[in-house]
Amino acid sequence: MIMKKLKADVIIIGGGIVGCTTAYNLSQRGADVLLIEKNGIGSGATGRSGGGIRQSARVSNEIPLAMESVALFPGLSAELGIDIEYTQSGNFRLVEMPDHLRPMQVDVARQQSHGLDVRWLGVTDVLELAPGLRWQNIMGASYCPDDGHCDPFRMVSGFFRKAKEFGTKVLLNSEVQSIEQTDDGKAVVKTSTHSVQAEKVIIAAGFGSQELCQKIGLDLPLQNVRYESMVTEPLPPILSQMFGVASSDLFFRQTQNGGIHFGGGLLEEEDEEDTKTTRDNLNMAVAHISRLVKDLGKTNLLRTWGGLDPSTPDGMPILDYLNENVLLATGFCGHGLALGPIVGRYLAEWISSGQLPEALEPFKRNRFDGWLQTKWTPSGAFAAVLATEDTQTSGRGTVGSGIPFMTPPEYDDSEDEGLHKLLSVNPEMCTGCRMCESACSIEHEKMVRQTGLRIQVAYPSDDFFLPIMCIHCEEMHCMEACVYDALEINDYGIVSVVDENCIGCMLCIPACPTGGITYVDSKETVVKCNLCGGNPACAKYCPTQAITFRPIDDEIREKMETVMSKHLDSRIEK
Amino acid sequence: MYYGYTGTILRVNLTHGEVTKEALDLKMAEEFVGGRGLASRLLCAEIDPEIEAMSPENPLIFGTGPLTGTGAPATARYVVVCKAPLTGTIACSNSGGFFGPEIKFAGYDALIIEGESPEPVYLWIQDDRVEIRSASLLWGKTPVETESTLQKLTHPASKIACIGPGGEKLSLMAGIVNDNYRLAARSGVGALMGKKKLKAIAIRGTGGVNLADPEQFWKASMDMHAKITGDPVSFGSFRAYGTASLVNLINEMGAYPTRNFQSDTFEDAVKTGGEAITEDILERNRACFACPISCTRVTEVKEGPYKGRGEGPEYESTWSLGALCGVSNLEAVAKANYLCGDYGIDTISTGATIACAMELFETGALSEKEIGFPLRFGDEAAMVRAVEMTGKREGFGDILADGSYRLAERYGHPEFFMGVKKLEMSAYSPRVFQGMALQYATSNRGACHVRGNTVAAELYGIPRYMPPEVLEQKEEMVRRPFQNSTAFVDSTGICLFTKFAITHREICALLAPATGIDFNFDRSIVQGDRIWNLERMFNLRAGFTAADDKLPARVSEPSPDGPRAGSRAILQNHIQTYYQLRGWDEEGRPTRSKLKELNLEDFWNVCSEHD
Repeated sequence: MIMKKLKADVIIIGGGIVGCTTAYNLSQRGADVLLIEKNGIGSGATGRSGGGIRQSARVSNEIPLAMESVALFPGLSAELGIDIEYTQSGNFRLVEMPDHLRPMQVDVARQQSHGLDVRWLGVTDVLELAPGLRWQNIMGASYCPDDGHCDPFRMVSGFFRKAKEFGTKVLLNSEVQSIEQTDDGKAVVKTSTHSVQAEKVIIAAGFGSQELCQKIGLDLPLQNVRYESMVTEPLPPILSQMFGVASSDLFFRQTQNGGIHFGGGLLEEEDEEDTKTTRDNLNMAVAHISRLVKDLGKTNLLRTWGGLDPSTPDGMPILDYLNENVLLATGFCGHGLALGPIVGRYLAEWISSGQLPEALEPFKRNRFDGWLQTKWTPSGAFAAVLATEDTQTSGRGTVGSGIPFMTPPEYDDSEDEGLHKLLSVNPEMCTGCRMCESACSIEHEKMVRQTGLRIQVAYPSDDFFLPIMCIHCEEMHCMEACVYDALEINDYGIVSVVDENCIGCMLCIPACPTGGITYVDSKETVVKCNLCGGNPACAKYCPTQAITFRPIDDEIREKMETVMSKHLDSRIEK
Repeated sequence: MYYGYTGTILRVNLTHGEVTKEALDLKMAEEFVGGRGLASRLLCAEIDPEIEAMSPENPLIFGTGPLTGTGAPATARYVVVCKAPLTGTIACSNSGGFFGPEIKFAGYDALIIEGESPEPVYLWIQDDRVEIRSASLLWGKTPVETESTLQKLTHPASKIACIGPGGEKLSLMAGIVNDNYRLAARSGVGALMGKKKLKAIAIRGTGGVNLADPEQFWKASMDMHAKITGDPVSFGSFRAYGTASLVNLINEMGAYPTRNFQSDTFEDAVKTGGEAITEDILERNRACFACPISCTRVTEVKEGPYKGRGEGPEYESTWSLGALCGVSNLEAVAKANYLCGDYGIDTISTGATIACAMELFETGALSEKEIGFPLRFGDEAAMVRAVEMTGKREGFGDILADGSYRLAERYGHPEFFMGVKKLEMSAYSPRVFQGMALQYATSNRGACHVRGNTVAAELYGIPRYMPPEVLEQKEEMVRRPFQNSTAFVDSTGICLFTKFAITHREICALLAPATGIDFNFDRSIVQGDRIWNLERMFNLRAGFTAADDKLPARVSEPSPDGPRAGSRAILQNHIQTYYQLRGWDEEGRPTRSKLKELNLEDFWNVCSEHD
């Protein structure tokens, strides 16, 4: 078979939402674009998606981009000449169990601190806005009124058609076999039928990007999170908003023709692209939505399909050059539809100007350097075991007996007399026994409990444990965040809570990089470590000297901050 | 307001899908402490011990002690009590980890699971909310898979106890697995859970445990903390090498049963001992809730045919799957141990049953055709393969899965069964440790090392040294500082391993300020005795007699080789002395006055006629 040779300015691999918006923006600017798609337009994660367009419940670094993108949506139908069925009716994240209540409220405070209009609503307020829900299983929800949902197929085909109008050329049903660099600094992309030369190549192939990256010798921390979706027969209008749940295993919305589009199930991480559906998972999603939405008992399902979420360890996409020619845009973790319009615009700007747009700064791939071993935690967020220097060299192998955990390092504190005595944590010695939690709880609460604690043990993996608490940092971010004078510097020079001033707004909680502040239900205030007035119970009770009370300098403090902030998600309570 | 106790017992009927809550009877708690004692007392009120173990009438009781979850050192234990599927005796299997404390944090002292579900279900307990949910998604999964799935379906911090495929397939050696790798292993409690079609219990508790006198409690905790962290056994060898630190010690004594108890010295013990585990496969030690000892070994075999990761093997496991089968390859032993965890079956019974099959094969009672491959002592690959078949009940594994008593009977060699009351013995040779010999014979759940581990006295000299071969006064030693004491300790929620460092006095010093009840040393002696006698009465009513208090004939033969060649279990004369000391008649039945003394006379009419 003879290879057909083509030339273009930019080749885009992947006909999903990101590929199509980028093609649209580039060709609008006059670039000669060729789009190559393995199957059909929107046949991957885009077409399988839930249709939610939200800014809320994003990680902090992604919120600004999401807000910028959502601002584009109201004008899209007119711009593309097709009704994408966009409704800006709000997004709920429903809380179904007491354990999720506090974390959700803390999360609302975090998002508000980024200027997003998101609020916490009690169950009656939720029901007033969404009367189609059953109150029995709902405790409340976070609500962002500016979020909404749209039809993913209409949206992606709108961008695709416009891109073609502007001159984008297309190869459908064509799988890329290789991406090579020529000696004169160009890239050559080959399919089984075509060989195309271009200045730049954009890989926007969802989970398939993994394989393409491996072809040019790069291995990215990318996994596919499989979920399952379905749609019911049309019903009269009962729900206008987009809904998710705190446990992240269900979403639902009512489409414009009346069908309830919902999905979820067990979020299973896989190393392959898999779109099968299973009876068990579908049953589970059906049982779950039936607990939340009224009168679904006799409704028939029309169609089921498997969804794809190409995901990264920190819940944000990778938007970065892999080499001089190849730009990667993938790993949207299920946020691609919402981010698509703005990402397409910025990628086009980046390609044409050669300058990295400031808004895309947080999405570079080098942020994963040093994440040695990445591992999913049950909460769906990635935790990482620290880079070599933290977990593998310190303490291990240096002690005479040959069993590192038997002998705590000897501290020479004599030179540090000028320094404050503070809590020092050495995860090498920690066995995960939680005796520090018990000691803290008995000392301060006069009982033993595992919620509302000032110190908590995180379990990032089965052989790495880490007590997490306030490290009494010099920056005192919490003081900065508090607007009620509820935090003060006490005689010992550390931040302590003024109970009578604290109203429990929780603004200080997301401000703390090490998870040192906790909200206590029974008190309706926050609590934090006060070093037990200079004789900390946790250090006394720790059997292995994983926690010690000694003079510590900035270097140790910095090290502790790095470790703790990386493992916040692995705490039992958040 | 309850202190130490939570004051609530949760009752779940799987036949009718009913959930009820009952108040804890504090008077009963005072008499039976909690944990093993209280759960056994609850069981005796539920059933007549004559019932079939594998029937819906037999409830599964999860009990915690008043100290479970209080944060005092090593307070992680919960117990599982029922009539035992493997033995027909009363069963009390216990386990650590984080599941027990979570029961307390959710607000319960005990869970009584009764009836039988038609479909696989799991229980989701979230503080006072209790749901019975379908487990069709979980059936067939290993404990590790079950835990990760359930934490997604319920709460990321839920603590899980579940059965593996072994329990689902009603293997009489199945245990209940919590926190991925920890088993309430012995007596077949997992088979009963499987019979009830209860795949798992997921618990999430946001409450706490109240303390009557927090300051005094904290003082007592710090005192115990100092004693344990100053103890060379608990905080020394158990922390450095795990319980398997015993391997070389016991083997050098010539008391390490080898090749189905044919010998008491294993030439390759050093290859499978604690030092080798730490050296070769240990990744990290870790601890149960509030435990300074941290004897748990997180291990990994990184490559080769026995690749795997998990916890252990601990002492009994490295023995049963190693020396008892003549296997000296640590990686194979570790793999077999991981597999037992994956299928949720007891490592001791599994290893012992395979060892029994090996002897049957070598003596020609069992053919290669029946097993499917030759099963000789020392053949590590065959041993691992047999474990896998046992867990799956596949081929010959279907017969292995019901334990060595039934295996040996089936092939006409009951003398190859090395146990008492259908439960296999553990890794201390009764030919050498005369205390263990008496303890194995009289233990209420069959031959078992944790019902009165006299090795503490016979090896470590705790509470005082008694040479293993000495017989005088052993009856009293077995009875009081070991059997009764263990019954008490198991009832408090504290781990038995602390007993190398502390006594009842330290435990009572915690119990009193925790509960506000006057627990003291003298009463603890009676409480332990009461619990032991209650269990004994259960067994008598279930049909056991003095004739069942006997050791396998083999251990009465002299030990063939090793440092203690020639030693043998001398039991017969001592059992009657033991009965007398216990206040029992020559048939091993408690006398009426003994029961009156213990306030147990209300139970079935099983006591002695003459008084």
